[in-house]
Parts: sequence; C-alpha cells; structure tokens
Amino acid sequence: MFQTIRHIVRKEFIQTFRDKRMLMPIFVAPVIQLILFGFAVTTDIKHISLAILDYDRSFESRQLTSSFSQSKTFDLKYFLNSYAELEEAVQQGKAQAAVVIPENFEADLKKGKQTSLQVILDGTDANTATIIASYISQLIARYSENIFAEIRGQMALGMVIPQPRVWYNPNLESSVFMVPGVICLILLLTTLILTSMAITKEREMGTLEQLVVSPIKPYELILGKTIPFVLIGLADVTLIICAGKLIFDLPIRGSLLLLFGVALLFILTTLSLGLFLSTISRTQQQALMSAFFFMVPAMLLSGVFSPIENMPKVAQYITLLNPLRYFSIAVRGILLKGNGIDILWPQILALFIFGIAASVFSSLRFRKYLE
Amino acid sequence: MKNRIIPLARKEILHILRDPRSLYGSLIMPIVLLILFGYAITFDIKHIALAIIDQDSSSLSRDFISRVEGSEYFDLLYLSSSSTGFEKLLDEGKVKIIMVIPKNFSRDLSKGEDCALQLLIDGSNNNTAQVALGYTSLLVQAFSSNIILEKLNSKGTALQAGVPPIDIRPSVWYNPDLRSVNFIVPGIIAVVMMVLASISSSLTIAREWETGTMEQLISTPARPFEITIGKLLPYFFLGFIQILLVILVGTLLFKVPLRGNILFLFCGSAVFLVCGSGIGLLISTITRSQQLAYMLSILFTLLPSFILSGFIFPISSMPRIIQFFTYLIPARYFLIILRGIFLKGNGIVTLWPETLALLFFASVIVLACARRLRLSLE
Repeated sequence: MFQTIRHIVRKEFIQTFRDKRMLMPIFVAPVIQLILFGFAVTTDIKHISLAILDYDRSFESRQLTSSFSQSKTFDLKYFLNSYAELEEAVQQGKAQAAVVIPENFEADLKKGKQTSLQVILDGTDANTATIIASYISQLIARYSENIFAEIRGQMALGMVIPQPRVWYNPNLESSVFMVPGVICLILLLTTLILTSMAITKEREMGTLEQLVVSPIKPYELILGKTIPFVLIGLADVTLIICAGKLIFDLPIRGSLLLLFGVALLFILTTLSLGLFLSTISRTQQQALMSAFFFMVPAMLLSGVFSPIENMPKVAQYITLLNPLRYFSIAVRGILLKGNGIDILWPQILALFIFGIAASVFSSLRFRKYLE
Repeated sequence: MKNRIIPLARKEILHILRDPRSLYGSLIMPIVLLILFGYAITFDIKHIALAIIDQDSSSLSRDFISRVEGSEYFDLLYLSSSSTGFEKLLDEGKVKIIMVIPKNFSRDLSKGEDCALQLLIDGSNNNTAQVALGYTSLLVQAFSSNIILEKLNSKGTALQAGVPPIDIRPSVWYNPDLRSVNFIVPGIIAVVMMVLASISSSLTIAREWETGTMEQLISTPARPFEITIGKLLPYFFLGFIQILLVILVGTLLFKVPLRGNILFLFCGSAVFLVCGSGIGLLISTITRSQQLAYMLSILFTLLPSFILSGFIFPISSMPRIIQFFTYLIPARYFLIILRGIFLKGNGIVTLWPETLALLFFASVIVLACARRLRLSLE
C-alpha cells in the first residue's frame, strides 16, 4: 500500500515540477506576495497631501500651519490664495484635505472666544477620509492644549494624560500583522487550487480512467494525489516564516511545532475541499472558478484583512463557519502573542472538527465519483 | 480577414456557452464581491472590545467610565477594581484595550494636578490599535476639557466660552456621508475586469496548447493575429457585460452616484480590457499550461490590481520603491478614471494623463503579444 502511494506521490511531483517554471509560482510567488503584503498593505495613512488656505495670515495661524507641516502624517503641499484654488486642488485630487483658517482666527483665540476651522475632505475614498478627519482633530486637539497650557498653569487645572503601552507590536507595524495573514492565504491558495486543478487535469486529459482501471485503490489515489500538496504547502509555510523573519523581523513568540500542527489540521480541510471541487468540475477552468467562489468570500470573511468585530452581525455569524477564521487567529496568536494550546484550544478543536468532517465527506464523495 | 475572425469568435462563444457554470460564475462573481465589500468589509473601526480596571472607584472615575460606555467606538466588556489576571484578556484576544484608572485619579484631578491614565493596547492588528489609540485620546481630551470647563465655571472666568478653543467644521466633498460603497464600486470594476479578462483569456489559450488543438489552429490558414483577435473578442464582450452589471447593481442597489460621462467610462473600460486580456495572452504564450497560467495571472494581475492600485490601500502610505512599481499597474490609472467619473464627474479635461497612460500600456502590451505569438509559432 505504501509502495503504491509512494509511486503516485513521485509521479505527482515529477508532473508538477516537469515544467521548471512551476517552481516560480510555488516558491517565488509566496515571497513576492509576502513583500507586497508586508510593505504595501497598510491601512494606516501617511503623507496626506494637505492644502491650507489662510485668510488670517497672523502669528497664530502660521503656528497652526507649521504644526501641520511638522507632523509626519501630513505633507503640506499647497498654500492657497483663494477658495477657487482650493476647489481646483481638491477636484483634481492633488489635495486630499484642505484646511481653511478664518480671518479672525488669532483675534478670537486671544479674546478667549471659540473660533471655527473649516476642514474640507475628499470623500472619494471614504475610508481614508475618515482617518484623515480623525488625524486632523487629534492635531487640533493637541494644538488647543498648547494654547491652554498657559492658562492651566496659572489656575491649577489638572487633566488626564493617556499613557499608552502597545503589546505584541510596539511600533504598530503593519507587516507584523500581515505576514501571519500571508501564511494563511498562501496555504489556502496552493493547497485548495492546486489539488482541485491537478485532479481535474487528469480527467481533462483522460488519464484518470487509466488510473481507475489500474489496481490502485481509491484511498491510495486520494493520498497519493494530496500528499505532494501537503508537502508543498508546509514548505511554503517554512519559506514565508524564514523570509518574514529576514525581511520584516517577524516575531516568533510561540512554538513553531504547534504552528505546523495547526497548519496540518487546516490543510486537511483545504485539501478535502479541493478534492470535493474536483468531483464536481469537468475542466480545470471550472475547478478554478468553483475554487474562487469558495476562496474569495473565505478570504474576506476571515479577519485576515479586516477585523471581524466591524462586520455586520449576519456576516459575523457566517465567519464562524469559516476554517480560515480559526486558522488565522491561531497563527497570529502563536507568532505574535506566544499563545499555547491552553489559550488556542477552541480554535484547534474547530479546525480538527472541520478537517475530519471535510475529509470524510469528500473522500466518500470521491470514491463514488470514481466508480 | 474578417471572415476568419468571426468563425473563430463564434467557436469561442460556443465554448463559453457550453460551460454555463463558468459563465454564470464570471457574471455572479462581481456581484458577490460587491455585496461582500459593500456590506461586510468595512475598515472603519467601531465597537472596540475594552476592559477597564477602576482602582479609584470614585464618582469621577465612574463618570469617566460612563463616557466610555456612551461612545459608539468602544464596547466595555469587563469592569473590575482589581488588576489580577487582566493580562490574560489581551492574550486571549477578548479585549483590544485595557484602561487602568489609577488610585489617585479623582484626588489628583481635584487638586489640579495631571493624572496619568494607563492604556494597554493589543497591537497585533496595527490598524485597529492606531485607530483605537486615536479614539481614546480624543475621548480623554473631551473628558479633560469638561473637567476644566466645570472648574472655570465655578470660578466664574470669562474664558469658558473658549473651551475647546478651536471648533472643527469638517465638510466632505463628493461623498458627504462617507459611504464606503461609493469608493468600493469603482474599485471592484477595475479589479474584477482585470482578473476576468486576464485569467479567462490566459486559461482558454493555455488549454488549446495543453490539448494540442493550438497546433491545429495554427495549421489552418488563419494568421496568428486573427486567432488572437478571434479568441479575445468574446471575452472582451463578456467583460463589457460585467461592467454593465456592476454599474447597474452599484447605481441601483447601492445608490452609487454616476456623475460623469458614461460614454467616456465605456471608452476607458475598452482600453483597460485590452490591457487585461493582452496580459492574459502574454502569460498563456509563456506558460502553455493552465495551472501555471492561472498562478501567473494571480501573481501579475489579481494581486497587483488589488493591492497596488490604490483600491483599498492608499498608495501614498507605501514605501517609495513600491510606489514606483504602482506606476506599472494599469489598474492604478483606470481606478483614478473610474472614481473621477463616478464621484467627481470629471471628464477628459482632468483625466487625460491617466487615459494617455492606459493607451500607452494597451499599445505596448498588444505589440508585445504580437511579437511573442510570432516567436512561439515559428
């Protein structure tokens, strides 16, 4: 039995790597994706291009302007002279936000009267606009506090000062968040799609019939066809962890052994799904389409990119059925927080149940399909 | 020449129609994406799970806590007066922030001294952490100025009118309610079209190579150029049907405004589709295997047009080198055109640089295709 499986595994490896170019998507692609996700996927917003229209032209208004230009968040690019210029800058997308300082800005502040500041935001990208708005109000709040500081000193008015300490990712780098996410995505991509396409390919070429009439038993065929992709998947995980450590200084706080164990449980589910998809597809294109249909919602509703807590309630319930959700929590927990089984057991249990259920279901289905 | 292209295109259409599942799939996919991104995926952060350790238990600290509870940004899940075992809450991911109100909170403040509020933040999702930090500091500031205001009130100072001294009046243009669908819909059009155009064209041609029917096609009197056009034409139209579908669902169901010229929109889309299917064709001439073609399409079209186009992740926040690469992504230009047309009502007067860039890409890709195809056939 082991002999047969070994031969199929070998055949599959030879077939996959006969085309040397296949090495690229399997081993180079994960690294490219890692670099893309680590560097480019960041929702925090820097270098906001800002325009200022200063009607006041006073000492105080220049103070405010310079606190914008000193901030790393803003690139103060345009000093405007008229409202028409402001409209043009925003219309052409040159400025993402514009601040209008009113004429009596300094005078009002001196009198202790409240003055208002008009802020214009380009709402085309709603997400960015929200964040820019909150950055501007934080900056203004700090600025107001400085104005206030003198008076506070004289009158002995205390205030609350937040002292934040950030755990797990003290510099708040997005790569630390994203690299574990890439591990999840690559595993899903390689195992699910490659398996389903590899089996449909045999069918498309007509070689599946040959395998069926040979004395190979169905379970040997299943194992032989899936084991290569398990190995490729695990190799990819190792690759990403090493590259993540080298390029992004990814923290590895928990047990790598546990990580690989969890990855195996997850692969059990994705491979079974791949197997299942191959039983319902006649061509590779169909297999790919069906895999996409599963994969895209699974990726989006997993918490890998956007937090689950922010989703509507219905979507949150759907994520409970998504194995990727549990896997990504476990991977981030192990790598970033150093979590062990004592904390992650619910996720591991969920992955175990998914894995067993999916593999039993799809191997039964595959046997029937062969007959 | 026309007489050869049309039968080739008809054959391809038959292929598409014979596989209704893939056809429906490629039509339903954009809608599914639209619904997912429109409803489920929001990057604005609310309901941050929070724990408070109130070591002071004074009326002032309770006042602060009720302010936190009243905010829509925080969900106060745990409240305790002792700090034992609270670190576990962060480890287990049950809360994202722990606030520690110190023992002397109300005493210090009433004496007029500053008082520190300790915050422990789960930084594993840097974005959530950053936003949470911002909300917290705004909340604390509001609380502080409230205390100060009360004090000034009791002292009867004239300054009270100036607390807070600066009032911010934001006005949002083009998308006043900050609805994320408004920027998602144009983005989905770009991503979906790029992916469909390149993946389906690369897969169909790779399939011809794989099954050996490409040789048969070549040995017919049809020229490589005609084969290419004939194979791509149906996918070109399918792409247009998708655009129409997304525009219809986007404007009717999600009420996304379409302020600009629809004809310009279609012209821009046509040029973009040429880029997408051209890249697919290039990939297929290099690989000749469907598996590889698919992997390369993902790598060269899906991920870049998703990540590097400015669809969700702002280009200006990326490192310089990566920003440079974004200039090589056709989706980047198309996205600016789409958002300009949809939300700002821009026309060719404003958008000519992007249109020119797309035209440039399209011609380079088509030339490269013609060259590759001739080489691989000889």
